[in-house]
Amino acid sequence: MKQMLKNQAKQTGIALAAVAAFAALGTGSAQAQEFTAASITLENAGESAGSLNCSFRETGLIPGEQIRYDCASQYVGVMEQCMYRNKPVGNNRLYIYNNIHPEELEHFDVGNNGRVRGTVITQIPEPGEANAIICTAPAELAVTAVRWCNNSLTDMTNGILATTVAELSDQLVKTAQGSVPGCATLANGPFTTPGE
Amino acid sequence: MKHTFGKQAKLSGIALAAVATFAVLGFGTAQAATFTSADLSINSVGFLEAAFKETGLAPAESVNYTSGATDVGWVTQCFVKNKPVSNLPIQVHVAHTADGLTTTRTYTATNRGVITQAILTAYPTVEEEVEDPLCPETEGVEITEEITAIRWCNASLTDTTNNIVGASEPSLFRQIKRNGSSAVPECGVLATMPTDI
Repeated sequence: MKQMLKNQAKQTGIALAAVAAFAALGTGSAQAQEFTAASITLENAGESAGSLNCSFRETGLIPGEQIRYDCASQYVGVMEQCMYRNKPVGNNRLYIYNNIHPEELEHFDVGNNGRVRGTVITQIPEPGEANAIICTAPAELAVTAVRWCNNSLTDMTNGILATTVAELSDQLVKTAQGSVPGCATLANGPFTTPGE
Repeated sequence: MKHTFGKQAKLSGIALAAVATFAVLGFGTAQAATFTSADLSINSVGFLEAAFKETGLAPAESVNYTSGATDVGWVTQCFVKNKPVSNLPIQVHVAHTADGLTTTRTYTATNRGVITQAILTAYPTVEEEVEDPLCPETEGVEITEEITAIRWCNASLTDTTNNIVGASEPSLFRQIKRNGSSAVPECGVLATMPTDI
Protein backbone atom coordinates (compact mmCIF):
# COMPACT_ATOMS: atom_id res chain seq x y z
CA MET A 1 0.00 0.00 0.00
CA LYS A 2 2.80 2.36 0.95
CA GLN A 3 4.57 1.44 -2.25
CA MET A 4 1.45 2.16 -4.29
CA LEU A 5 1.02 5.65 -2.75
CA LYS A 6 4.65 6.35 -3.45
CA ASN A 7 4.17 5.34 -7.07
CA GLN A 8 1.09 7.52 -7.41
CA ALA A 9 2.87 10.47 -5.88
CA LYS A 10 5.72 9.94 -8.29
CA GLN A 11 3.37 9.77 -11.28
CA THR A 12 1.51 12.85 -10.14
CA GLY A 13 4.80 14.66 -9.80
CA ILE A 14 5.78 13.66 -13.32
CA ALA A 15 2.42 14.79 -14.65
CA LEU A 16 2.68 18.15 -12.90
CA ALA A 17 6.18 18.65 -14.20
CA ALA A 18 4.97 17.85 -17.69
CA VAL A 19 2.12 20.35 -17.38
CA ALA A 20 4.55 22.97 -16.13
CA ALA A 21 6.91 22.23 -18.98
CA PHE A 22 4.12 22.41 -21.57
CA ALA A 23 2.93 25.64 -20.03
CA ALA A 24 6.40 27.08 -20.25
CA LEU A 25 6.65 26.02 -23.88
CA GLY A 26 3.20 27.31 -24.58
CA THR A 27 1.86 24.04 -25.97
CA GLY A 28 -1.81 23.50 -25.30
CA SER A 29 -2.35 27.03 -24.10
CA ALA A 30 -2.71 30.42 -25.83
CA GLN A 31 0.34 31.09 -27.97
CA ALA A 32 1.30 34.65 -28.83
CA GLN A 33 -0.80 35.87 -31.75
CA GLU A 34 1.14 36.50 -34.90
CA PHE A 35 0.55 37.02 -38.59
CA THR A 36 2.26 34.26 -40.50
CA ALA A 37 1.17 35.83 -43.77
CA ALA A 38 -0.21 39.26 -44.67
CA SER A 39 -0.44 41.14 -47.94
CA ILE A 40 -2.15 44.26 -49.27
CA THR A 41 -2.85 44.41 -53.01
CA LEU A 42 -5.44 45.81 -55.41
CA GLU A 43 -8.23 43.69 -56.83
CA ASN A 44 -7.34 43.36 -60.48
CA ALA A 45 -10.56 42.13 -62.05
CA GLY A 46 -14.32 42.00 -61.73
CA GLU A 47 -16.70 44.44 -60.13
CA SER A 48 -14.28 45.15 -57.29
CA ALA A 49 -11.34 45.97 -59.56
CA GLY A 50 -9.20 48.64 -57.94
CA SER A 51 -10.46 47.89 -54.43
CA LEU A 52 -8.02 47.27 -51.58
CA ASN A 53 -7.48 43.59 -50.80
CA CYS A 54 -6.00 42.63 -47.44
CA SER A 55 -5.27 38.90 -47.17
CA PHE A 56 -3.83 37.29 -44.10
CA ARG A 57 -3.23 34.25 -41.90
CA GLU A 58 -2.96 34.78 -38.17
CA THR A 59 -2.05 32.08 -35.66
CA GLY A 60 -1.80 31.70 -31.90
CA LEU A 61 -5.37 32.82 -31.31
CA ILE A 62 -7.82 31.39 -28.81
CA PRO A 63 -10.14 28.83 -30.46
CA GLY A 64 -13.70 30.11 -30.70
CA GLU A 65 -12.63 33.72 -30.28
CA GLN A 66 -13.81 36.37 -32.74
CA ILE A 67 -11.31 38.74 -34.32
CA ARG A 68 -11.93 42.00 -36.16
CA TYR A 69 -9.61 43.08 -38.93
CA ASP A 70 -9.20 46.49 -40.50
CA CYS A 71 -7.97 47.04 -44.05
CA ALA A 72 -7.47 50.79 -44.10
CA SER A 73 -6.02 53.56 -46.17
CA GLN A 74 -5.04 57.06 -45.11
CA TYR A 75 -5.66 58.73 -48.50
CA VAL A 76 -7.46 57.46 -51.58
CA GLY A 77 -7.56 59.26 -54.92
CA VAL A 78 -10.31 58.24 -57.33
CA MET A 79 -10.68 59.52 -60.89
CA GLU A 80 -14.17 59.22 -62.36
CA GLN A 81 -15.42 59.90 -65.87
CA CYS A 82 -18.36 59.21 -68.15
CA MET A 83 -17.49 56.73 -70.87
CA TYR A 84 -19.26 55.97 -74.14
CA ARG A 85 -18.05 53.02 -76.20
CA ASN A 86 -14.74 53.07 -74.35
CA LYS A 87 -14.25 56.78 -75.09
CA PRO A 88 -14.24 59.49 -72.42
CA VAL A 89 -17.13 61.94 -72.51
CA GLY A 90 -16.83 65.38 -70.93
CA ASN A 91 -14.51 66.24 -68.07
CA ASN A 92 -13.12 63.82 -65.54
CA ARG A 93 -13.27 64.49 -61.82
CA LEU A 94 -10.81 63.63 -59.06
CA TYR A 95 -12.13 62.75 -55.63
CA ILE A 96 -9.79 62.56 -52.65
CA TYR A 97 -10.89 60.71 -49.53
CA ASN A 98 -9.09 60.29 -46.22
CA ASN A 99 -9.19 57.60 -43.52
CA ILE A 100 -11.00 54.95 -45.50
CA HIS A 101 -11.97 51.66 -43.88
CA PRO A 102 -14.16 48.72 -44.95
CA GLU A 103 -17.88 49.46 -44.85
CA GLU A 104 -18.25 46.97 -41.99
CA LEU A 105 -15.54 45.54 -39.79
CA GLU A 106 -16.26 41.84 -40.13
CA HIS A 107 -15.74 39.37 -37.29
CA PHE A 108 -13.72 36.30 -38.15
CA ASP A 109 -14.15 33.12 -36.10
CA VAL A 110 -10.97 31.50 -34.84
CA GLY A 111 -10.77 27.80 -35.71
CA ASN A 112 -9.97 24.96 -33.29
CA ASN A 113 -6.36 25.23 -34.37
CA GLY A 114 -6.21 28.83 -33.16
CA ARG A 115 -5.84 30.18 -36.68
CA VAL A 116 -7.72 32.59 -38.92
CA ARG A 117 -7.20 32.85 -42.62
CA GLY A 118 -9.15 35.49 -44.50
CA THR A 119 -9.48 38.44 -46.83
CA VAL A 120 -10.95 41.85 -46.15
CA ILE A 121 -11.89 44.01 -49.14
CA THR A 122 -12.18 47.76 -48.82
CA GLN A 123 -14.24 49.08 -51.71
CA ILE A 124 -13.36 52.20 -53.66
CA PRO A 125 -15.24 55.02 -51.92
CA GLU A 126 -17.98 56.87 -53.80
CA PRO A 127 -18.95 60.52 -53.52
CA GLY A 128 -22.28 61.60 -52.09
CA GLU A 129 -25.11 62.45 -54.49
CA ALA A 130 -24.36 66.16 -54.40
CA ASN A 131 -20.82 65.61 -55.70
CA ALA A 132 -21.49 62.80 -58.14
CA ILE A 133 -20.99 63.10 -61.89
CA ILE A 134 -24.20 62.56 -63.84
CA CYS A 135 -23.64 60.90 -67.18
CA THR A 136 -25.98 61.44 -70.12
CA ALA A 137 -27.16 58.07 -71.41
CA PRO A 138 -25.90 56.02 -73.09
CA ALA A 139 -22.63 57.16 -71.51
CA GLU A 140 -21.90 55.42 -68.22
CA LEU A 141 -19.92 56.44 -65.17
CA ALA A 142 -16.64 54.65 -64.59
CA VAL A 143 -13.85 54.77 -62.06
CA THR A 144 -10.93 55.20 -64.44
CA ALA A 145 -7.98 55.33 -62.04
CA VAL A 146 -7.31 54.88 -58.35
CA ARG A 147 -4.46 55.40 -55.88
CA TRP A 148 -4.39 54.12 -52.29
CA CYS A 149 -1.86 55.68 -49.90
CA ASN A 150 -0.49 54.54 -46.53
CA ASN A 151 -2.40 51.28 -46.39
CA SER A 152 -2.47 48.97 -43.40
CA LEU A 153 -3.90 45.67 -42.19
CA THR A 154 -4.57 45.43 -38.46
CA ASP A 155 -5.93 42.84 -36.02
CA MET A 156 -8.18 45.28 -34.18
CA THR A 157 -9.04 42.84 -31.42
CA ASN A 158 -5.47 42.30 -30.31
CA GLY A 159 -4.05 45.55 -31.63
CA ILE A 160 -1.51 43.95 -33.94
CA LEU A 161 -0.38 45.69 -37.10
CA ALA A 162 0.12 42.98 -39.72
CA THR A 163 1.61 44.93 -42.59
CA THR A 164 1.70 48.28 -44.33
CA VAL A 165 2.04 49.31 -47.98
CA ALA A 166 2.87 52.92 -48.81
CA GLU A 167 1.25 53.21 -52.24
CA LEU A 168 -0.86 51.17 -54.65
CA SER A 169 -2.34 52.48 -57.89
CA ASP A 170 -4.08 51.26 -61.01
CA GLN A 171 -5.24 52.81 -64.27
CA LEU A 172 -8.51 50.91 -64.63
CA VAL A 173 -9.64 52.39 -67.96
CA LYS A 174 -6.70 52.85 -70.29
CA THR A 175 -8.58 55.03 -72.77
CA ALA A 176 -9.74 57.50 -70.14
CA GLN A 177 -8.15 60.86 -69.52
CA GLY A 178 -5.84 61.64 -66.66
CA SER A 179 -4.27 59.78 -63.80
CA VAL A 180 -4.48 60.15 -60.06
CA PRO A 181 -1.71 62.37 -58.59
CA GLY A 182 0.88 60.93 -56.23
CA CYS A 183 0.30 60.41 -52.53
CA ALA A 184 2.12 63.58 -51.51
CA THR A 185 -0.36 65.60 -53.56
CA LEU A 186 -3.39 63.63 -52.37
CA ALA A 187 -2.42 64.32 -48.77
CA ASN A 188 -3.18 68.00 -49.38
CA GLY A 189 -6.84 67.33 -50.23
CA PRO A 190 -9.40 68.83 -50.52
CA PHE A 191 -11.18 65.79 -49.18
CA THR A 192 -14.56 64.50 -50.28
CA THR A 193 -16.96 62.91 -47.83
CA PRO A 194 -17.95 59.46 -49.08
CA GLY A 195 -21.63 58.87 -49.78
CA GLU A 196 -23.81 56.21 -48.21
CA MET B 1 36.98 80.27 -117.45
CA LYS B 2 34.14 82.67 -118.02
CA HIS B 3 31.96 79.70 -118.75
CA THR B 4 32.95 78.03 -115.43
CA PHE B 5 31.99 81.15 -113.46
CA GLY B 6 28.68 81.18 -115.23
CA LYS B 7 28.06 77.55 -114.32
CA GLN B 8 28.99 78.14 -110.67
CA ALA B 9 26.69 81.11 -110.47
CA LYS B 10 23.89 79.02 -111.92
CA LEU B 11 24.52 76.19 -109.46
CA SER B 12 24.64 78.64 -106.54
CA GLY B 13 21.34 80.10 -107.66
CA ILE B 14 19.74 76.66 -107.74
CA ALA B 15 21.11 75.85 -104.27
CA LEU B 16 19.82 79.12 -102.85
CA ALA B 17 16.42 78.55 -104.38
CA ALA B 18 16.33 75.04 -102.86
CA VAL B 19 17.23 76.41 -99.43
CA ALA B 20 14.53 79.04 -99.73
CA THR B 21 11.98 76.41 -100.78
CA PHE B 22 12.88 74.15 -97.85
CA ALA B 23 12.62 77.11 -95.50
CA VAL B 24 9.16 77.91 -96.77
CA LEU B 25 8.10 74.28 -96.44
CA GLY B 26 9.56 74.14 -92.98
CA PHE B 27 11.99 71.27 -93.52
CA GLY B 28 14.78 71.13 -90.98
CA THR B 29 13.31 73.85 -88.80
CA ALA B 30 10.66 73.90 -86.10
CA GLN B 31 7.28 73.87 -87.82
CA ALA B 32 4.44 75.97 -86.52
CA ALA B 33 1.65 74.07 -84.79
CA THR B 34 -1.32 73.75 -87.10
CA PHE B 35 -4.54 71.81 -87.36
CA THR B 36 -4.25 69.76 -90.53
CA SER B 37 -7.82 68.58 -89.92
CA ALA B 38 -10.50 69.53 -87.42
CA ASP B 39 -14.11 68.55 -87.67
CA LEU B 40 -17.02 69.35 -85.37
CA SER B 41 -20.03 67.08 -85.64
CA ILE B 42 -22.85 65.50 -83.64
CA ASN B 43 -22.57 61.77 -83.11
CA SER B 44 -25.45 59.29 -83.28
CA VAL B 45 -26.45 59.82 -79.62
CA GLY B 46 -26.34 63.62 -79.72
CA PHE B 47 -22.88 64.26 -78.27
CA LEU B 48 -20.65 66.96 -79.75
CA GLU B 49 -17.59 65.36 -81.31
CA ALA B 50 -14.45 67.31 -82.16
CA ALA B 51 -12.13 65.13 -84.22
CA PHE B 52 -8.78 66.61 -85.16
CA LYS B 53 -5.20 66.18 -86.19
CA GLU B 54 -2.66 68.78 -85.15
CA THR B 55 0.90 68.76 -86.47
CA GLY B 56 4.03 70.83 -86.05
CA LEU B 57 4.11 70.29 -82.31
CA ALA B 58 7.26 69.56 -80.36
CA PRO B 59 7.83 65.85 -79.78
CA ALA B 60 6.20 64.76 -76.49
CA GLU B 61 4.73 68.22 -76.05
CA SER B 62 1.75 68.35 -73.73
CA VAL B 63 -1.09 70.26 -75.35
CA ASN B 64 -4.35 71.42 -73.77
CA TYR B 65 -7.56 71.52 -75.78
CA THR B 66 -11.06 72.74 -75.14
CA SER B 67 -14.10 71.71 -77.09
CA GLY B 68 -17.59 72.90 -76.40
CA ALA B 69 -20.44 75.19 -77.28
CA THR B 70 -22.23 78.22 -75.87
CA ASP B 71 -25.73 76.72 -76.05
CA VAL B 72 -27.39 73.41 -76.78
CA GLY B 73 -31.03 72.60 -77.30
CA TRP B 74 -32.66 69.21 -77.68
CA VAL B 75 -36.13 67.78 -77.94
CA THR B 76 -37.45 64.73 -76.15
CA GLN B 77 -40.61 62.83 -76.95
CA CYS B 78 -42.49 59.81 -75.64
CA PHE B 79 -42.19 56.56 -77.58
CA VAL B 80 -43.97 53.23 -77.41
CA LYS B 81 -42.34 50.41 -79.32
CA ASN B 82 -40.19 52.87 -81.25
CA LYS B 83 -43.21 54.93 -82.33
CA PRO B 84 -43.86 58.49 -81.12
CA VAL B 85 -46.94 59.00 -78.97
CA SER B 86 -48.60 61.79 -80.94
CA ASN B 87 -51.04 62.99 -78.28
CA LEU B 88 -48.32 63.66 -75.71
CA PRO B 89 -46.39 66.93 -75.88
CA ILE B 90 -42.74 67.15 -76.84
CA GLN B 91 -40.30 68.85 -74.50
CA VAL B 92 -37.59 71.32 -75.48
CA HIS B 93 -34.52 71.31 -73.25
CA VAL B 94 -31.89 74.03 -73.16
CA ALA B 95 -28.46 74.34 -71.57
CA HIS B 96 -25.82 77.05 -71.71
CA THR B 97 -22.09 77.41 -71.06
CA ALA B 98 -22.58 77.68 -67.31
CA ASP B 99 -24.28 74.28 -67.28
CA GLY B 100 -21.07 72.58 -68.39
CA LEU B 101 -20.81 72.48 -72.17
CA THR B 102 -17.02 72.57 -72.34
CA THR B 103 -14.62 69.67 -72.21
CA THR B 104 -10.93 70.14 -71.52
CA ARG B 105 -8.32 67.58 -72.46
CA THR B 106 -4.56 67.27 -72.35
CA TYR B 107 -2.81 65.12 -74.92
CA THR B 108 0.84 64.38 -75.57
CA ALA B 109 2.32 64.76 -79.05
CA THR B 110 4.01 61.81 -80.73
CA ASN B 111 7.71 61.81 -81.56
CA ARG B 112 6.72 63.33 -84.90
CA GLY B 113 4.91 66.16 -83.16
CA VAL B 114 1.41 65.01 -84.03
CA ILE B 115 -1.77 64.65 -81.99
CA THR B 116 -4.76 62.85 -83.48
CA GLN B 117 -7.78 62.65 -81.19
CA ALA B 118 -11.51 63.11 -80.79
CA ILE B 119 -13.17 64.90 -77.88
CA LEU B 120 -16.73 64.06 -76.87
CA THR B 121 -18.97 66.45 -74.99
CA ALA B 122 -22.41 65.37 -73.81
CA TYR B 123 -25.46 67.56 -73.40
CA PRO B 124 -26.18 67.72 -69.66
CA THR B 125 -28.87 65.69 -67.94
CA VAL B 126 -30.21 65.35 -64.43
CA GLU B 127 -31.24 62.35 -62.35
CA GLU B 128 -34.30 60.63 -63.79
CA GLU B 129 -36.65 61.12 -60.85
CA VAL B 130 -38.86 64.08 -61.77
CA GLU B 131 -42.16 64.97 -60.19
CA ASP B 132 -44.05 65.49 -63.40
CA PRO B 133 -42.71 63.08 -66.02
CA LEU B 134 -43.18 63.82 -69.70
CA CYS B 135 -44.25 60.25 -70.36
CA PRO B 136 -46.90 59.07 -67.86
CA GLU B 137 -46.62 55.56 -66.51
CA THR B 138 -49.23 53.34 -68.12
CA GLU B 139 -49.86 49.84 -66.85
CA GLY B 140 -48.77 47.16 -69.30
CA VAL B 141 -47.19 49.64 -71.69
CA GLU B 142 -43.53 50.47 -71.81
CA ILE B 143 -43.31 54.15 -72.57
CA THR B 144 -39.94 55.87 -72.83
CA GLU B 145 -38.73 59.45 -73.16
CA GLU B 146 -36.17 59.71 -75.92
CA ILE B 147 -34.14 62.44 -77.54
CA THR B 148 -35.25 63.02 -81.13
CA ALA B 149 -33.17 66.00 -82.31
CA ILE B 150 -30.42 68.28 -81.03
CA ARG B 151 -28.74 71.55 -81.93
CA TRP B 152 -25.33 72.73 -80.69
CA CYS B 153 -24.60 76.46 -81.04
CA ASN B 154 -21.24 78.20 -81.44
CA ALA B 155 -19.32 74.97 -81.15
CA SER B 156 -15.55 75.21 -81.23
CA LEU B 157 -12.31 73.33 -80.81
CA THR B 158 -9.23 75.20 -79.53
CA ASP B 159 -5.62 74.31 -78.81
CA THR B 160 -5.37 76.47 -75.70
CA THR B 161 -1.66 75.84 -75.24
CA ASN B 162 -0.76 77.43 -78.57
CA ASN B 163 -3.93 79.52 -78.78
CA ILE B 164 -5.11 78.11 -82.11
CA VAL B 165 -8.75 77.63 -83.03
CA GLY B 166 -9.05 74.36 -84.92
CA ALA B 167 -12.68 74.61 -85.92
CA SER B 168 -15.85 76.51 -85.13
CA GLU B 169 -19.46 76.04 -86.17
CA PRO B 170 -22.22 78.56 -85.45
CA SER B 171 -24.90 75.86 -85.57
CA LEU B 172 -24.89 72.08 -85.79
CA PHE B 173 -28.14 70.14 -85.99
CA ARG B 174 -28.86 66.42 -86.02
CA GLN B 175 -32.10 64.49 -86.29
CA ILE B 176 -31.50 61.52 -84.03
CA LYS B 177 -34.81 59.69 -84.44
CA ARG B 178 -36.19 59.87 -87.95
CA ASN B 179 -39.81 59.52 -86.84
CA GLY B 180 -39.44 62.00 -83.98
CA SER B 181 -39.90 65.74 -83.65
CA SER B 182 -37.27 68.07 -85.10
CA ALA B 183 -38.62 71.17 -83.38
CA VAL B 184 -35.39 72.43 -81.82
CA PRO B 185 -35.34 76.25 -81.87
CA GLU B 186 -32.63 78.05 -83.85
CA CYS B 187 -29.49 79.17 -82.02
CA GLY B 188 -30.62 82.78 -81.76
CA VAL B 189 -33.70 81.65 -79.85
CA LEU B 190 -31.92 79.02 -77.74
CA ALA B 191 -29.49 81.66 -76.47
CA THR B 192 -32.38 83.60 -74.96
CA MET B 193 -34.13 80.66 -73.33
CA PRO B 194 -33.57 79.79 -69.66
CA THR B 195 -31.81 76.57 -68.77
CA ASP B 196 -34.18 73.62 -68.75
CA ILE B 197 -32.44 70.29 -68.40
